[in-house]
Amino acid sequence: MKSIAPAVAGADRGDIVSSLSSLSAPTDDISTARDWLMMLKPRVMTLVVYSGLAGLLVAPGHIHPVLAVAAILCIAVGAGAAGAINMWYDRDIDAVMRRTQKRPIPAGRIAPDEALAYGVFLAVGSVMVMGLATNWFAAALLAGSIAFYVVVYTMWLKRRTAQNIVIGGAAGAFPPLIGWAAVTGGLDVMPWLLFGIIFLWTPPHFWALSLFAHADYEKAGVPMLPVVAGAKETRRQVVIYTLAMVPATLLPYVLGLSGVVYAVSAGVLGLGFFWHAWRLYTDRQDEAGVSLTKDAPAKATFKYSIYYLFALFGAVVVDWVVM
Amino acid sequence: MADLSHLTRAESALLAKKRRGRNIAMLVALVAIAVLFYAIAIVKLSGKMGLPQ
Repeated sequence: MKSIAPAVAGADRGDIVSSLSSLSAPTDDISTARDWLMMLKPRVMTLVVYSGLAGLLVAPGHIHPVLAVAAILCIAVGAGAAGAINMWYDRDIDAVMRRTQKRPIPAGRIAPDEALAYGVFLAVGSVMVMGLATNWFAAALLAGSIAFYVVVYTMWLKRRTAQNIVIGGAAGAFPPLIGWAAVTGGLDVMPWLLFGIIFLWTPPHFWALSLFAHADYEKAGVPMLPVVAGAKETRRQVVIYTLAMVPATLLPYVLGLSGVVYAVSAGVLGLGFFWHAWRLYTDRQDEAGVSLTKDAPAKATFKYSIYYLFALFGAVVVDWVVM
Repeated sequence: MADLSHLTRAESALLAKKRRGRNIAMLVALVAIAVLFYAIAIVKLSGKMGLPQ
C-alpha cells in the first residue's frame, strides 16, 4: 500500500488536480504540443541520449548509421516514456511541490489517464522498434530500464526509503549498456564500468539538489536523505560517494580499456568534483546543519555534477576517437 | 475538462491556436516515424539481400 504525503493525505488525486485547474482561465487547461514534450522530461532525456550514444560509439563492431539513429531515438523515447509514467504516478506529490506543480498533469492541462496511455504507448513502441531495428537483447535492456525506473524507483522506493536514489539511480545508468548492446548484441566490462560511474554519480548529484530543495520534498512527504537524516549527514554522504566515484572513473584506464586522454580528463574532472563536495561539506552552517549561505555550495555542486558527467562521457568518446 | 461553450472570441482564437500547434506536432511526429520505419526497412532488406549498406 502506497503511503500518501502528509500534505495531501485525505484528498483524492483528482480533487487536487481539478481544484488547481479550476483556478485557471478557460483555455489554460488545454494542452499544447509543448506540454506533451515536457511530459518526456527532455532535460533528463538529454543526459540519457548522451550516455547512450557514448556506449554505442565505443562499442566494438559496426552498426549502420540509420540503425544507430533509431537506437538512440528508442533510448530517448523509452526514457521519456518512463518519465511520463513517473509524472502520472507522482501527480499527487507533484501538485504539492513548488518545483513540479506547473507540470501538465497537476496544472490540469493533461488528464492522468491520457498521460498514462501516452507513457505506456511510447514505452512499448520504443522497445518494439529497438528490437526490430537492432536486436532483442538491447530491447530487453531498454524494457528493463523503463520497468526499473517506473516500478522499482517511482512506485516502490521513492516514497519509502532515503536510499531511493541510491538504488533507483541504476535506472539512469542503463543507457550505456543499451547503446553497447545495440551494436554488439551483448555486454562487456567497459559498458558495466560506464554503468557503475553513473550509478555512483547519481547520489551526490541528487543529494546536492535535495539539500536546497528539501522543503519541497518534506512538504510532499518524500523521504529524501536531508529530510530523513538531516543536512549534515547528507553533506557527509555526498563526500563519501564522491570518494567512491572518482577512483571508479579511473578504472577504464587502469584496466586498459581507455587511454591517457580519458585518464587525465577523469582525474582533473574528479578533482573538481571533490573540491565542490568538500566546499559543500564545509559550508557555513548552524548547529542543525542548516546552511548559512543559502546552500550556495550545494547549488554549485549540483550544477557542476551535470557538466561533469557530460564532460566525462565526452572524454570517453574523444579518447576512443584518439585511440 | 472545463466547459468550453462560453468562450469569448479571443479565448476561442487561443484555443484554435493551441489545437493547431498540437496537430502540426502530431503531423511532424507521424511523418518522422514513417520516414524512420522506411529507412530501417530499407537497411534491413539491403542487408538480407547482400546489397551494400
